[in-house]
Amino acid sequence: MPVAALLSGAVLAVASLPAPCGPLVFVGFVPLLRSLLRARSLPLAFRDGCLAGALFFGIGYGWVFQAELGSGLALAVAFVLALSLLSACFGAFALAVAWLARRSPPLALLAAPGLWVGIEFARSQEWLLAVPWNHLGYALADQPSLVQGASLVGLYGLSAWIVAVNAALVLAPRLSVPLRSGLALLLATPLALAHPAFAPDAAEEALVVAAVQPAIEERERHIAERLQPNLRRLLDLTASALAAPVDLVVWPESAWERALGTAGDAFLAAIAHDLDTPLVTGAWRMPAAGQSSWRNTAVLATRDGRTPVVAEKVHPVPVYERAPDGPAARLLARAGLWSGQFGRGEAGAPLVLPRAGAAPAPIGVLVCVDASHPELARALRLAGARLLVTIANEAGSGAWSAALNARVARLRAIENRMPVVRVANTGPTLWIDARGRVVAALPAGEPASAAHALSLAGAAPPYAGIGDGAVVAACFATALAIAAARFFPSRKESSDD
Amino acid sequence: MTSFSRAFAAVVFSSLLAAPALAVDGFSMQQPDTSYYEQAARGEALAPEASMTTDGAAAGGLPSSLYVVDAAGGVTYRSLGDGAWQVDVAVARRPHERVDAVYDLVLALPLPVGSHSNAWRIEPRLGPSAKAKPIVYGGERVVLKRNVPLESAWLPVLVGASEGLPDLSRSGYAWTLWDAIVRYDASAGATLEAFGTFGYSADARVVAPDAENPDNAAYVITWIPTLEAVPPFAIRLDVVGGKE
Repeated sequence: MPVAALLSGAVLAVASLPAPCGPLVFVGFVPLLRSLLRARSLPLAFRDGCLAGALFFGIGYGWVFQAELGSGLALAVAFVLALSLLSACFGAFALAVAWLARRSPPLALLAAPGLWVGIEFARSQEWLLAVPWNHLGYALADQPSLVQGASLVGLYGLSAWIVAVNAALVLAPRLSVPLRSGLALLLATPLALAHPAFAPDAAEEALVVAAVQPAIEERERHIAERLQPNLRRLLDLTASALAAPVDLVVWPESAWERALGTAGDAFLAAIAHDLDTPLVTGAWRMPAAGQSSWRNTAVLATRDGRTPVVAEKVHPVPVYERAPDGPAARLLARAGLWSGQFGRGEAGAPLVLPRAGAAPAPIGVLVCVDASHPELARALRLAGARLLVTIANEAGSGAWSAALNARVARLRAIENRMPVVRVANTGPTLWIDARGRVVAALPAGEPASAAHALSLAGAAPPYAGIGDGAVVAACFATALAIAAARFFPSRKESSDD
Repeated sequence: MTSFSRAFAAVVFSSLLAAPALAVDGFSMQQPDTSYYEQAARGEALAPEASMTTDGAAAGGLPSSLYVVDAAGGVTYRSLGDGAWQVDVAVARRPHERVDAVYDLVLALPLPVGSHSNAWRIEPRLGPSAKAKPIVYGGERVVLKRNVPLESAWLPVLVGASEGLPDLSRSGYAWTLWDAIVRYDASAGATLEAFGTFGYSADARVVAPDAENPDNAAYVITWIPTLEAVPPFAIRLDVVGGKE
């Protein structure tokens, strides 16, 4: 009975839940790593990894069963397929660790963070699975004092650090006291970044952002009968948030239920004119010339009557949202198991928000799950964004997924030392400062609106310059170097043979 | 008509059936069988998906024609001397349209080319001039603000079109658009009326529009963008004679 694997999978899964159990990730890998160091065979190690992965991802992606998305069996089929592949990824990690442990357990433990991060990174990419959820680093996002290191090394560096702490706990009994102390000190170093001395520059400029959370159920959205009542609710909530002047009003993903044409939408512009405030809202854009599919976008309605698209969803969720874009997807679509209709959009530049009596404010906008792709937020930061707005709609995927996405938003704030306003249809809608702290929030699940000020971002942190590629490459290269050493038996090993 | 237009038209139709509108034109206070929007939407089926016609998309959703009825009231241009002018817009008591929708209330008003003002706002009021009160509708004070972006987008589509606005290009006057987003208020009663004034300055050679010229009028337009294929309902207010 692979108790250790099951225990690891369960603990990691609990840590990933939207509950205050995140710090369990620091010990979640320990049982599995210990068992892998003395694995009887590599196939068994792979099996143990798969089992741990099945629990970790199976529970961690349990929000799928809350979802009211797609049609028929589409989501269930997607869940089973994704779970199999993700579990296999976990199995590959376990296999590699066990293989390296045959030569040297300490080297295997040293390689573990790089191996894990390499797999975590790969599964997030379009060329593999495009599944960027349940990364270890997110488990700690609700404890911002623990994850300020993300401003140096980002999400993947954070995940590597977590695995390294687990590995160190396994390794510690084999080390002398001085070595053990040194290792502990080294691994605790990132925590020092929570000290106020490392706080980001306090920018004097602030932006007041009004957020509207209409809490409209998925079955009542984008149907003709509800178009007018839904619009009325948005306007009522907006009016109540504008008791004092604000710089920007934000509505959630696809809140504007009129199809956006090639020339924008004059009515949306008229609303911004009436509010006398720029308005960002999610909207579905009709296929442009040469495009075969719709785009899930964010639109800025300006006071001067323009409605430019300021963000397109770059990574629509496969199966239920993304238009079939490959042979397998088209096959599934023909079988009624793929319901998506949106094409992949282009990553955009920050919008420039004019302000009376102040310099224009560059603002990055991401649509929903795009916030889970750290490179997109980083690119906006590098392009000058001083505030990030993420618009979301989790009415169909449920409160669990919304809570996970809220964690994601907090980590993006820390990585980029940039305030984030997350505006979600069913909440939680959050105003997050550049240290990942929630400054204000709207209660999830109910219609609400409010306006709050956030200090604009100051200087960009090291992560913005380093990026995920460099961090992942460094971690994975370390693992590869260790793996390469596996092919050169040590003198002691040769003599033992 | 697109599936969406049909769908929304049917929704409006249904809601109007539940609360029948009163007279649609400005002169009769008797309750007719159907309102303009009821008639326009009649017979359309409900469709499940939202979309927009290609034409509408190309124009940003702006319609190119109006459904115009004459209404009591009028527009009066008064010269106050030294190039200062005041225009009074009055809508006599008329039936409440009872369109259960969020819409753009647009006033199309001719003003002299190159006129100036310190405040491009018209606040509709009600009651005797001395004691007139601002109109509160849908819980909010209605204020019509001049919408230059809407002028840029809509007037090229609307002016000179059949069933559109008259072309004023040789009159020394030009169309201006003023609007407010309005949410239907069922508690507003069976009738509505309002008046508003706007002060501006213009070149000393400017004269008031000729009341005998039928092109000279103002229009109060109820633009329901979600009812895309139905020309917006508009009431026409004649110029009733300028005063120097």
